[in-house]
Amino acid sequence: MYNCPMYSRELVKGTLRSVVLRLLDREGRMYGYQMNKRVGELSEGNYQLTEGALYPLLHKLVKDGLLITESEKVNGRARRYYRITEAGREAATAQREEFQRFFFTMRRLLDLQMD
Amino acid sequence: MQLANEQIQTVQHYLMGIRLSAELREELLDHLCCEIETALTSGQSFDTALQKTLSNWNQQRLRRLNNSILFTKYQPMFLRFTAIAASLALLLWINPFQKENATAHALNTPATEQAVAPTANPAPLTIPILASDIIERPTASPLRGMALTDAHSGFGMRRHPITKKLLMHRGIDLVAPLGTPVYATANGQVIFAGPNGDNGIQVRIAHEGGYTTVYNHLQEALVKEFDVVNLGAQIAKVGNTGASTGPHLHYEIWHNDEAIDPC
Repeated sequence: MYNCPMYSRELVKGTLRSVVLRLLDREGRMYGYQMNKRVGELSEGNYQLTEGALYPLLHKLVKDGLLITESEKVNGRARRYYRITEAGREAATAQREEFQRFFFTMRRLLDLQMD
Repeated sequence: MQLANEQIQTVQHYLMGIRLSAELREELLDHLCCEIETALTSGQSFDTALQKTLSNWNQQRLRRLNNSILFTKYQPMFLRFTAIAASLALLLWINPFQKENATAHALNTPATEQAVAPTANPAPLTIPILASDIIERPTASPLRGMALTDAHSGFGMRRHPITKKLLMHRGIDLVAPLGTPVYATANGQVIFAGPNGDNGIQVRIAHEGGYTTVYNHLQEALVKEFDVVNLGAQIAKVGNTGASTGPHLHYEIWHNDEAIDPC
């Protein structure tokens, strides 16, 4: 589970915010471990986010009002769910569109062939 | 595969031994339990899974995570603080008074000496001293009308009043009647407020520059975790809770995980 991430730390770091916001935009609410697992599944293990980056980001997004937290008792312990707010959904869309533009620019800059 | 209550408690016990915010501790308890449950589902025994997870989540890693979360919360305050420090330094650098003197001096001297005058300006020397003095340890007293030096029992080795053992006294004891207001000794954020074993009801506040202040044996805490407090705000009342032989405030200052003498 803790093998080296397929993508470099820098790439993950620069995109983590977009990934987390999009994930919550789609799923409504999730908890930390679940996000970690879900991203692993969706990327077939290529995009590995570390807890050391995920939790500080989640707490920051809560502070910025893009997410809110809900605590629930599950299996004898408290589980902290993160739910996206309206502002969070707007940010998710904006970041997604920005990344799309970035993607096309990079394709041109790096002269990538798409098949 | 779900963990039994005592298995969850084993993990909780491990996390309790590490200084984390209560919020993060609760969150990580769930996270670690999820990891162990996944390992159990894949056929590992509880002991193996527990050992693997805990060695993966060693103390250092947990502390680092706690600090980086605390830092993201503090960042705006930190930036504001840096801005103030920078403008102060700039003001000293420009130093209008020094310049006026220099020009006045230059006007009164013959032309040959004028070229030498600006290089003799010693003003920048004061800046590094000032900048390092800005983040200093909290120096205020937590009780009004009482100086830190009025402590009934000071910082250092002493015989414990209850156990009679020779122990390091990591703070100072200020004797005051029950209910005396206790004030924050610097701006900061509450990282703990509530009962904490022998410490009785305790409040801990994190400050700029890696400082933490601790207030023990309180009658009541008037703040809660994550509250932002200013210097001089009332945070609690003097009490006699925990291992205490009479109403008093036990006060500690920590700097980067080390207790320092508050006086």
